[in-house]
Amino acid sequence: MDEATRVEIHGTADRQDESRLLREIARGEPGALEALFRMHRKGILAAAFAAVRNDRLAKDILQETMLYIWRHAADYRYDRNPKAWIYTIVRHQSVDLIRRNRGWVSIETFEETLLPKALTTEPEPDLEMSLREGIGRLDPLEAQVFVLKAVAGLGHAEIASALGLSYRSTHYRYRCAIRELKRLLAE
Amino acid sequence: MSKTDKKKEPSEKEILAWAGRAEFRTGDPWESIRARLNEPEPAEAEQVRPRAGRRSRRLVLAANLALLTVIGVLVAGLTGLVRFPGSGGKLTSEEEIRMLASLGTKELSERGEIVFDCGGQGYNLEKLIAYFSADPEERPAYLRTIRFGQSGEPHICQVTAGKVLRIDSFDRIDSSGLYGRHEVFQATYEHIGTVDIYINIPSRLFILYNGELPTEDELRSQNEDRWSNVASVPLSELGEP
Repeated sequence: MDEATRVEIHGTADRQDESRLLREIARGEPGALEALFRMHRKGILAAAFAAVRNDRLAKDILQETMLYIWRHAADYRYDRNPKAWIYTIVRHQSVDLIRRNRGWVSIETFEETLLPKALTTEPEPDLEMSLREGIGRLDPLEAQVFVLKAVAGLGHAEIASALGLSYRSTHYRYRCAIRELKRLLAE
Repeated sequence: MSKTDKKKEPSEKEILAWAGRAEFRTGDPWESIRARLNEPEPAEAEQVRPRAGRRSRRLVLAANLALLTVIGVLVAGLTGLVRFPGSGGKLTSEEEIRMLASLGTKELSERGEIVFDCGGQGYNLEKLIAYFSADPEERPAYLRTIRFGQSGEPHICQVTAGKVLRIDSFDRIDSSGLYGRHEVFQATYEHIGTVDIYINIPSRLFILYNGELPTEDELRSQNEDRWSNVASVPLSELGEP
């Protein structure tokens, strides 16, 4: 079995799992929500951090996203891609939080946050930069595309749907992010 | 190798692996989430919703297309790509003539002058005249009789009420302006005297009168160059006021 086929089968299985979990959540089963939370905690945190550049807000977005899914799982259309739906909610929660906190937080304040660094990577002998720092130095949209691909495991089509971009634009942003990270990590 | 040497750029695969190893030291927020599951949804959460549905997006798209169409038609009309009744061009129907005539009458009464774009067809001007002639009760008192000369290439005719005017200059000012793709000429006139109304078309003269009739010699003497064509319209053929 070649790599592409394995990825396709794996992606389809994930999607079936998520759709099943969303059905169970719609029926009011907290266990299903917890399973979905465990499955996407890392991706949602990374996507939220890429959008708001603030640890505390990223954690808030994770909570609010899970609560939104709990309350609105019945509205989910099962012909949609569940990952795209979930990360669309993350994006809307991020935008909403930024709007509500306008005046004291902006994407430029991430370096000044006094809270502990929530998002780190173990130091690598050759890649001496945390993911947090790398994300912080990317363009916000490119950072979101990158983490959705690299951390959350979304495909370009799913990222395009979640961020409201075209497929080509998503691909272009991803290439820009990779190019910039290559440069930063080689410095 | 010195420490200042630039490191080798990592591959895309290495970068993805680097990102995939990210750790999140956030504690476990699940218990906090679980504790809030039974909370009522705050009103503010109404603002956070996924993108508008397909139906809403189609409605917005349709509204935008309609707006673009209206703007396009207006732009086309203003630039002369499309002709609207009364905006000049050939007069092809009685209704158009009536519309133009009524517009002209209004302009005439308010400003003392009128500009008709006759679309280069003397025939259409003739129809316009016929319109006036057919409705004597409706036409203004000063539009009693119209005579016109030979066919030519009129692009603009100007009616001036209550004055006798002499053409001092006649310049081409635009080829795609107020009257679309028709050539538009600007004439400068000077009040000189006796006849009530003239309709003037480049290279020819149309006379409208209800008062004293100037003689051919009088007209010739007013502007030899411009009025010389009057000779082709024997004044004896002009109808009685």
